[in-house]
Amino acid sequence: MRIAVVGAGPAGFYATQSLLKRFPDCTVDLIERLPVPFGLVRYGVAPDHPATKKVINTFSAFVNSNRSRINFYGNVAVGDDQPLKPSHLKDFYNLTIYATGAAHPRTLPGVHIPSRFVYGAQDFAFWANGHPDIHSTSAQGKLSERIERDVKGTENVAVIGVGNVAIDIARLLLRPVDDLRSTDISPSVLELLSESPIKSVSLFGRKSPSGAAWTTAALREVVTKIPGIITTCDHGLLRKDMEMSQLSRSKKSMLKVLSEKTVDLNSAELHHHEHQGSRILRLEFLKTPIAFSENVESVNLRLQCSQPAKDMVGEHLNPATKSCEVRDTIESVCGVVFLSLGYVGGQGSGYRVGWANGKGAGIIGDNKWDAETVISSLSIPDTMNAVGISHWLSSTGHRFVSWEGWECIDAVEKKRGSEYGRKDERVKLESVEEMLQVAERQAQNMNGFNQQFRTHCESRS
Amino acid sequence: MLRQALLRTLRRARATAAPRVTGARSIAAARRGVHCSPPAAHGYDPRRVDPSTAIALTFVDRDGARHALKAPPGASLLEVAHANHIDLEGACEGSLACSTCHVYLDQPSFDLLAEPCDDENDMLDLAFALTELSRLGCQVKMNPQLEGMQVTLPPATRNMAVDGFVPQPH
Ligand SMILES: Cc1cc2nc3c(=O)[nH]c(=O)nc-3n(C[C@H](O)[C@H](O)[C@H](O)COP(=O)(O)OP(=O)(O)OC[C@H]3O[C@@H](n4cnc5c(N)ncnc54)[C@H](O)[C@@H]3O)c2cc1C
Ligand code: FES
Repeated sequence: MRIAVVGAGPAGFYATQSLLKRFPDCTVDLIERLPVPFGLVRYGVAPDHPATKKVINTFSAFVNSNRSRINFYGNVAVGDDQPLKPSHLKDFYNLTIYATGAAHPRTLPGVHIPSRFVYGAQDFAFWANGHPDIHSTSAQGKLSERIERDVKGTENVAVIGVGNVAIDIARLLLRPVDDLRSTDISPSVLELLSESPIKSVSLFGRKSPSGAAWTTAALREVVTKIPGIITTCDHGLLRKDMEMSQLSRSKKSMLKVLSEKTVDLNSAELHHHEHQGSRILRLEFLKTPIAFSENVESVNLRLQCSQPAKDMVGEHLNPATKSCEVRDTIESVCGVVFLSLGYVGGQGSGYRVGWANGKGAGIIGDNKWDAETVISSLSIPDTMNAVGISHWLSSTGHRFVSWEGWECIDAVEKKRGSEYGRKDERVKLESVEEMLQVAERQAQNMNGFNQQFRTHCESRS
Repeated sequence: MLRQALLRTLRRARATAAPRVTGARSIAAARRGVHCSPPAAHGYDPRRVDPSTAIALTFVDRDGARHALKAPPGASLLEVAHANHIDLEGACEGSLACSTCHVYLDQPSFDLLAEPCDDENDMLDLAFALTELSRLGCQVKMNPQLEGMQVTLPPATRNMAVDGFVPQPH
């Protein structure tokens, strides 16, 4: 029985694990759009979180100890707009599982987004993590160059959104750049940040503090563990939230961190830190962006400020109108804005797991649960003799990367890392063509050795 | 020499040509079992545990099967699980960055242990099926007081009876 898992992010690996256990005679082909595996663990998780990326060791050990039952096909996208269509997979496999991640980042409905100065949080993550897509070119130019042009020389950055990804952006921009040198951050980003005059990053959230989406772990890290960042928020608002009775344990501990470890927005202490040139992280609540206007060197961000109405509960949303009372609007001038509003869950055909299934949110480990749940209830008609995609690949001449090809890319990246002066971290290859060439060289060497070996055997017999 | 090098390469090359895995080979591989947990980063050899100091404990796995084990003092529950091939994930290898090593303890053992630190509580908040007896396996270290402890793995799947979840091809 042959099963295709499309997408080699965490959900793809966890699904493969569950499939191998549940169907003892199955083989899994892991089909990935990029030449390299691991999805957002490699390209989403912040470079200064190496511990979070250690799950890559688990996934690699899993593949290596089940080599005869798992094939990796990198650089093979599946889609109706791709040479390899979902309908092909129906012919080639007994079953296809889609683990292609979330479909789209959320945006601001009804708000015109200018083509300069405003980017998605995913653009930032891809830029910092050296994702090949960031070097793609559109009508406005190369995405990486546009971000670099706008971030360079910027003193104030705004992030729309109050979740963990928003905190990742703030932390990476504000933390001492020397802390980043030994991470796997893209060298060009490191260079740019080392000359950055950045003074503040503001995070804007629509709800009151208790409605923030970040986890206490992410908040605690940026607020208490990174030297050189002063975090501020409105303690008056905090106190109102803390008086609410129906808060969960985790919300309570999150608010406790905010009240004990941040500086009040209106305090003399904050002015002192600003005066000293400290880098400031501003957590702004009850503010909703309503318009952007471009200037020559910056963008004006207009925000609607609300105040909690008297009858409001929970996250200060009026249960009747689901909105807050509008107080006034303010304007903030920023060099660059990142929209970090989360993702729309995936769409598509077939069985779906991970961020492609459901809401497009959650931590890496959640995908294991999701994959187990989906796979444990499947039954597969093992009626056809499935051939997989290897014939399709060779007949179309499609360039792909095997697991051994990925191991070569991995080795090249680690070598570049040590040449760059990184003790334990890599410098990633950021171009698909370069990755393919490294992998193909490996395949050629292998063929060469095979040829030599055959000649050697023949000469002896 | 050359021959050995070539043989090694050929073996690797065969692995590369994996698309042609036959049914028979994959079944044989399946019989050997699916290997999921990587060797623990700071693991120990369960065959070398000193019986005079070993601490007895029981793991109850996700199917309800009970595994009576002996563990050396100082080993974390994550290390004990890995050394004994119990399917407990430790995605961040014990760095308090993932919560995949979530387990339930029995009440007396839970009470014997010092309170979890802030960082552990923060990660526990993200764990699935959290209970009053939840801890992170990488943070609980074996000590003689825990003799007889029972460690239960949380459910591996969403409870379909509760949330009515039935996967459908879309
Ligand atoms: C910026 C950011 C930071 C994060 N940081 C953390 C963190 O610190 N800790 C944490 O626990 N979680 C973090 N997460 C969440 C975590 O990354 C997700 O839970 C997880 O990656 C989701 O796994 P997935 O496999 O469903 O999707 P993905 O990781 O997105 O993987 C999907 C894979 O499918 C491939 N693919 C897509 N379309 C196709 C196609 N048509 N054909 C073939 N392949 C395709 C993609 O290239 C990708 O490799 C973060 C997420 C983001 C966005
Ligand atoms: S292994 Fe990651 S928190 Fe325990």
